[in-house]
Amino acid sequence: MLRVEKLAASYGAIQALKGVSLEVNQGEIVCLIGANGAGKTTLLNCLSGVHAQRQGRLVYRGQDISGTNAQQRVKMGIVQVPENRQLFGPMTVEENLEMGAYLRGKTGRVGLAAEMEDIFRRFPILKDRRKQRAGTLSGGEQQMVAIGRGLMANPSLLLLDEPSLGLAPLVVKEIFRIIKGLREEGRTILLVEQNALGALTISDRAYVLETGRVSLSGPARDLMQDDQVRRAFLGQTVPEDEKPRPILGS
Amino acid sequence: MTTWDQFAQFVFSGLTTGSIYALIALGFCIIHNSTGLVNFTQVDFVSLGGLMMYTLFLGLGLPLPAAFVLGVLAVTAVGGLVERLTIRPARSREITVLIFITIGVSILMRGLFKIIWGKNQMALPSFSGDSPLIILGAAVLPQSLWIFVITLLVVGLLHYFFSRTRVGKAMRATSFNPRAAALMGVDVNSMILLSFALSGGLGAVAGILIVPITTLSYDVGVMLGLKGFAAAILGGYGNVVGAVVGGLVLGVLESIGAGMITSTYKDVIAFSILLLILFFKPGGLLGYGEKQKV
Repeated sequence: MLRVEKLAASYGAIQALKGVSLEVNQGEIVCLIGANGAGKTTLLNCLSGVHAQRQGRLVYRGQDISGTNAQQRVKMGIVQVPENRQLFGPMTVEENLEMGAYLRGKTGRVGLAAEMEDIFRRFPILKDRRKQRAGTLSGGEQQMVAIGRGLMANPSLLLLDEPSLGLAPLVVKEIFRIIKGLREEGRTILLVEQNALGALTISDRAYVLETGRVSLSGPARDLMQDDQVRRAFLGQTVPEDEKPRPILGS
Repeated sequence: MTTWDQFAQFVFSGLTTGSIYALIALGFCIIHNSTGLVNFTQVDFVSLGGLMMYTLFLGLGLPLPAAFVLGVLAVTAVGGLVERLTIRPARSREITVLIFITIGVSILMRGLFKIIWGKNQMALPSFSGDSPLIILGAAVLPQSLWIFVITLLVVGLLHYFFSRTRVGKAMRATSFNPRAAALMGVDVNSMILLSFALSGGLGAVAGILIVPITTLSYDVGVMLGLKGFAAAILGGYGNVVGAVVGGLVLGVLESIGAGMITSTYKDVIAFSILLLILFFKPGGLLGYGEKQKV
């Protein structure tokens, strides 16, 4: 579905991506793990068309989309749920969801009402909160709004950036369950996570990104057994509830 | 005249100029929200509104409503052009650099107005005569009523636009989080262009409404614009409701102050209010304060 070929991108003089190649197939959950500063978010932003790529090709459904802009990518069904949720805090939950459907604006209020109902069916709590300012919700609820907002664009390829960041363990579990559910609906997901264990558990395949390069890739189950990954991300010798310290990259 | 009658008089004339300040303050707010800029060309949008009205209504002899609408549209277009030709091509995204660009453009625009319309004072007739109506013991000019009604209408339309329409919501979303808005497929540049155009239109409405009461010159908007800027700060810079409240409060306080003390110090009173607000409540009357700056 999506093929990234030798993608390079930089922030000023700093090269954040040094020729990353990866592939996401229809109906898969592919996760991208790596330490802070490995280039995961930059990669997603290149895919969304909000960060300029320096080199390489993006092929989506057989088409080279490298030259398209952010609006076109959303229209094609490539939608990002950004890190830290990035809600429109002073706007209501409902308005946030509506913004997700911005480019589908022509469906009108009636069409949008059905979409909105669909989101409330997935996240019933949001129905009670729909007139509330998004910024006043709890972290977990905000993440639901962020995912809901992304879904309002009716994505075929959903890019999720650290959806479990800063959430309580129970909520993290719930979020991962939701992501699995999205795949069952036939959506394709590229998941960026620092919570490697959680991400690998629900993913089909995984890539490890290290200082702008793919250092490892393979089926998620195999990567979970990989010594290097276990040491770097799964904190083998560290107790479960303590956050694994990434030592790869830096 | 009893003291009460006098007081009513001050309040009415204060609300008249206050409405104008509110319209101008709204223009400052909308651009601030979309770009973080203080746009100094706002004052010239006000002048240009009056000047266009002069040319269209007195020069070309168009009917008043047509001249009004065309005048506003023309300045709306100019607002868009200012963004497209001077802000967007700027290599720097540094706020201070962009603010200085607006100051430069403002001076340039005033120069052009001086060349086109000359340095002389001009006058425009009121929309519907000059015989005052007596309301609650105060003599109110018909033009003041026009100002109230049209300001109310404009504020109502703006409210509808920002809270009900798809593009209005996208503009708000962009002001809260441009990055997220871009990820939703909102064209952030268009939103900024639109905010300049809207502010141009608002400035023009203010200018067209007020010049029959004051007089018209190529730089009539400068003092009005500064008061509008003060009103925006008074209400809490960037807060749309605050802009309207700030405008009305500033207009009324200024008018009462001028009436009770001396009208010579009218501007001093307005700017003293601004200074006091900046000293004691820098966030403005309805300001969120710094912590809201996410």
